[in-house]
Amino acid sequence: MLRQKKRILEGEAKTFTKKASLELENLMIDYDINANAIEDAILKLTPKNYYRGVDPSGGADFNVCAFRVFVGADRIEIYLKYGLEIRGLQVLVFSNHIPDYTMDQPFKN
Amino acid sequence: MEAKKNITREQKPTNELERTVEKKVKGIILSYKEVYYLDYEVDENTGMIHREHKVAFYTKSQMNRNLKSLKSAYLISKGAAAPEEIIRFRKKHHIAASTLSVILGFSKNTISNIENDGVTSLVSGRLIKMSINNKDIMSHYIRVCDSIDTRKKEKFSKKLLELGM
Repeated sequence: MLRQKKRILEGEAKTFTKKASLELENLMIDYDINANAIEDAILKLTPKNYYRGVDPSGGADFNVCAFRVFVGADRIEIYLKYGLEIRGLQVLVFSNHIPDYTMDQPFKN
Repeated sequence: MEAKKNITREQKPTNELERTVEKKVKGIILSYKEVYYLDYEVDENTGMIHREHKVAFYTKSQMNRNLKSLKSAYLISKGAAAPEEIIRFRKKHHIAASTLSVILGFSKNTISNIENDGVTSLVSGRLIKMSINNKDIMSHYIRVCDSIDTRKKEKFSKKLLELGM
């Protein structure tokens, strides 16, 4: 619990990989978007955004899931993939880009 | 100045690092500074941490600073004034950032914000660029500015005439 509090106090709950950083930079050139919009989207996720979980076993260091969400002032649809650290409180964003194809959500409804 | 610190997943403090990055955006090569920190790589397919080597990660705050830096470089490539260009102009003519702001019709802090955080709007960036490169436009804006007194107007107009742009 102390670890979690420390991380929250340090303001490091949401972090981005290099790939996610490059994708967000590309989005920012054309749309009104920044990292706050991604954080906001993560905070507002519901089961209807769910796209897929990569490893549901819980045996990994991060539980990785993907979602279909609309973000930023322009409400652009993105594929958002992040991992939640099992022993810690880091949310690590792996991917946040406009999907290359229509995202079927098999678990919707 | 002491380097900013980040906390790794193992709760160890680590320095914030800075590097110059080149990125091709819509055919234009942009150069900008990015900040990051190092931590162990995570495989996005398995969710496993690879403890063999460290790679760059970005906190939310670092991401936003990097986005601002890239955006500024992009807008400058499209014709906006670069912060260094504005600073050079102000120093040459001995004019405060807040004074230049109000002369150009912005709120008091706009020029100072641009100098510190980079350009955020192409429209204002281009207006500044045109104004600081054109004596006639700048002289006119000084003359019609309501927010500075006559003594300051005269002083700045004289400097413009003496030194040019």
